[in-house]
Amino acid sequence: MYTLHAIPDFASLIVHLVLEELGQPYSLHTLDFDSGDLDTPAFRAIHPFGKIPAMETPDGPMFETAAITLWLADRHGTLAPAPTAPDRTEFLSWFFFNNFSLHTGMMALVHPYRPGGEDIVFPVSETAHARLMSELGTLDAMIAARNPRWLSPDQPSILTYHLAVLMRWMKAFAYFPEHAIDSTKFPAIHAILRAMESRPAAIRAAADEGLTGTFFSNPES
Amino acid sequence: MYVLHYAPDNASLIIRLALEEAGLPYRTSLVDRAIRAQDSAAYRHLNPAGLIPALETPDGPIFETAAILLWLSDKHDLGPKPDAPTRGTYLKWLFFLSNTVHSDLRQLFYPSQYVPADAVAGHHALITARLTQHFTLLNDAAADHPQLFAPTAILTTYLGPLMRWCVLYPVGQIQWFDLGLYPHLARAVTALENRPAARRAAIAEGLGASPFSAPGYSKPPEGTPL
Repeated sequence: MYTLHAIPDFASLIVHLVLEELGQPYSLHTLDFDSGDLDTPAFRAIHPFGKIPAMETPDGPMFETAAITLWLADRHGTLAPAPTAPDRTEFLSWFFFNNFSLHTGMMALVHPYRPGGEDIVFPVSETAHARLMSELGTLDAMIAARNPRWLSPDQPSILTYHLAVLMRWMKAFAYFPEHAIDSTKFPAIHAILRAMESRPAAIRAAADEGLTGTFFSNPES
Repeated sequence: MYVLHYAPDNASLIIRLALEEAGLPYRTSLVDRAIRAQDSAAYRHLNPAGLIPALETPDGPIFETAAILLWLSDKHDLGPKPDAPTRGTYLKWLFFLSNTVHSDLRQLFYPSQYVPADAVAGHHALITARLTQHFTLLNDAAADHPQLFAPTAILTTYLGPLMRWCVLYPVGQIQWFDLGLYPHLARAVTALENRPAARRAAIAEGLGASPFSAPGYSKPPEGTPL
């Protein structure tokens, strides 16, 4: 039994989607950012710096979104190539790329005031947008050329759901509307988002967090 | 036989340390940064993102430092396996090193890719304050999980070079990093640099006698760090 500590439409959404897809028993503990729930001693005992998500497991508490989803995939033998599979190399490369480059870039697009305050929000957003467009182009070309089973419209993976949520936020929550990233510019990625948002497990997790419709491919802002 | 595509004192150093410590057979292939070989078609074929390192394996190329570490760890039993009780703790700190610490370092070293020129000083202050918090958390984690942060452990292999670069880069910065603030980490990386495997890596990349506890700029036999 897992307990996921979550805030609707925060990074916990990625873990929530994965848990629904796994079909493993879990409970969702929803926190309230504005009430200071992240700063309570009880939550800090689970997550030392009070961020979302955190997940309690029989082996102890975990944090870092991608660490949690990879741990779940390996433990339950699904949603990622197994450690001994020949395509584990390629999968891990792009899984960490997604996390290291795209997730970081998304943060700059959505919160451009974080790196240096309000004075430079536009240039920060602009450089993040340019870099993301280039990186997403690289990723889209790779999918079109290789059609990997771990990033495909045909079946979900932990990478697919992580990317889908990043694409959602880059469209819906870009600080500057002109830097919002439209998934239709990346046809291979767009096709995957369309397939994922019609999966029953994804629809259930999304509905729990108040999201409906084309919540990955064309989310409302 | 693995082929490590590297540049001296780049993130490839982390992989070289892991390969050396595990005694795995490999050869290196220099990525010549002086001519931006990381942007060449041949290198992009290995790593379309154009970042160093990439490792050629019998299962094809793999890139992203932490991805390579985890893959080697699972393949050659260098860390907790997927069913081990400590796997979760191992993964959370490995990902923390990658997408929080390493990613912040990248922003610190290449500020022009993130903020305008007149904001670099403020950006440097903000990122270094954040990194100080990160290393404090890691020091606490090392106290709680001595095995995961043992001198030869994968996490220490990753930490040593990251802490080294905090002292050296960006060139000309005001010194902000103090290894002495993190005694558990300092002990681990100092023990690491005295091991024969790390000595071999240091010689190959011209890192000097104390690459982690008292770093100096690399004087490599081939290639350039920047």
